[in-house]
Amino acid sequence: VNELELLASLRDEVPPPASARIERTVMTAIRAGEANAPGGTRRVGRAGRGVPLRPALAGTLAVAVGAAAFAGVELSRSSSAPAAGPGPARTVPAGPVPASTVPAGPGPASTGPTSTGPASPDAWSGKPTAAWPASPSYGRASTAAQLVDFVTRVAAAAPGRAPKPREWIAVKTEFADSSRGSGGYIFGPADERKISLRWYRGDQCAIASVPSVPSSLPPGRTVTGKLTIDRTYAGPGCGSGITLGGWKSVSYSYLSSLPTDPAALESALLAGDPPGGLIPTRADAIFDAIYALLTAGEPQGVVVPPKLQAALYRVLQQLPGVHFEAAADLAGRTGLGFWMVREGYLRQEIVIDPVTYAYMGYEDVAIKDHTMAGTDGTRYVKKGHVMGWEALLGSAIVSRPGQLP
Amino acid sequence: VRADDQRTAAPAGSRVLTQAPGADGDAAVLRDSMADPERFAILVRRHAPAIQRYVTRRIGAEAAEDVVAETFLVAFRQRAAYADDGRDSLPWLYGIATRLVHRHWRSEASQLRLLARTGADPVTEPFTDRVDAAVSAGSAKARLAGALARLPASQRDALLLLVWAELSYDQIAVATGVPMGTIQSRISRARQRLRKQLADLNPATTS
Repeated sequence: VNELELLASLRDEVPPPASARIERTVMTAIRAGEANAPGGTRRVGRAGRGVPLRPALAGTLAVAVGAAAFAGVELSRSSSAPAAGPGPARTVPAGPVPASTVPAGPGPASTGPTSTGPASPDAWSGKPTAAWPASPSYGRASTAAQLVDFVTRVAAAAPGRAPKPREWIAVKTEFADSSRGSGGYIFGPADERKISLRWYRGDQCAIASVPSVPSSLPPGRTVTGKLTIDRTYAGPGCGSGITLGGWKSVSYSYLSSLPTDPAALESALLAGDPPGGLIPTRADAIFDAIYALLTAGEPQGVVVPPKLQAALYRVLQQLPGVHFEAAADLAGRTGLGFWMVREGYLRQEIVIDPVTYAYMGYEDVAIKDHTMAGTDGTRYVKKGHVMGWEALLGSAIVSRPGQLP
Repeated sequence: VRADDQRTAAPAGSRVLTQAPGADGDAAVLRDSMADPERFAILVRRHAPAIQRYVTRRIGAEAAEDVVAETFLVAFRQRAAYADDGRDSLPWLYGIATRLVHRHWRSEASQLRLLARTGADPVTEPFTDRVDAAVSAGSAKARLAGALARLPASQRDALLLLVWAELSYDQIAVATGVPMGTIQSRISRARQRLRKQLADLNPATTS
């Protein structure tokens, strides 16, 4: 054996890797404009987005990451349940669109100041993709019955507390977007992954945010950008009359007052949004309310009392048409899924953490071709299309907006 | 860090591209990607596996992932300047990756030294059973790793582009931007060093 043959056999065990992940990382960065460092070619536009977007948060921000500036345009699903599609408005509040919001611009060039110096009062820096402290584990649940049993016992032992009006709830989510845009649902292939950091004031009447970043950003990477605080924001718990679909109120005091007995709780949920229209059955209406609180409420800083959370899982476990399975969330974490098929075509899944029993994420997938006729036109959805996908990576009560746990 | 591989299968229709890859040469893809950046994905899909395997063999899977992604981002930025000589872009990409690997110079050398000293290889460990992975300390492979660790960067680059990336001498010249005569002498000197190192262990291996 000569030295070249020996060298050829050294580390020959390393297999040819699958390139899908690299491709996703690279193309996400290219679409975000991150590839265009100073001296680069030109900015990558988001050409082809012919549909107006509805950013839930200010898209006015740009952020400097190392030498490369890119803009994060926040595309939350706002509060409208994708099940409703572009159809008639539900009782959910419209997505918060502060006056300062600029419609989702095509790229960094249109998004105003590219970075703020450290002296700016709004300057923010942090590591958006770094992991937060782990939540305590109470043992792994693998069946729905175990989950309900464990979460009920934990809720009795650790009752939780309401956030104070001037405290802030830091929320980190990873969500899927499409290079073809989104708004109400993801229009094209779910080919983009972003991390969003937001802070909701305890009274739900103010929101702070920093630009979203690609989830491929290494966890050690520090991002500097602008923290935008919008005090005109009215979240689902701010004031009377503002709430979430299916709920009379989502204030901590109201949520704490709800009965934990499943039958009584179901009746209370039906009072918020009775069956009718797109929610034909009692089970649909109940699932809708739970789905809204977990998938739209929690990521918007609504704090759910542990006892109610446990009772909601118990309702899901017993609800006709709801299935249970081992599932995974957008971030690749394994979880426990409750899913139901809505309107005959849309499979909506709620994913629960099997060891902390916290809400972890949701996924909406069309299980057959579907045509949606709405006031803004007719849309066609193909079987297998992912219409909504988000993971709640963490939420924690902190004392200042911009602060990470 | 998220483990992407544990994700559920990508939903149907998630492919970005509709054009058949292979219909176009790299130069055409790069040219088209000036107007339509999405076309660049073809190049990534075509060459990422080879680049990633090469980089992984040098610095390990974890560090390789960032280097490979950055390789393609650098390539994307430089694509306007890519010389269209009708050949594939692999040597150019290997060259970018090789320069980025230099950031991990210390860890590359220390992993090789660890392999030389203990027979345990942090680079192959994730891909093999523990038993299979064991190279006995003092074996020819372990000695070779030690010798690689001591090679000057320019010689190690040239040698590994030849043997691991399987580039020809003139492709290595393209990749590294160094004249071919220099490449030839670097590889020749590197081979002498390795032979000497292996001969010290066991004269029989030098043949």
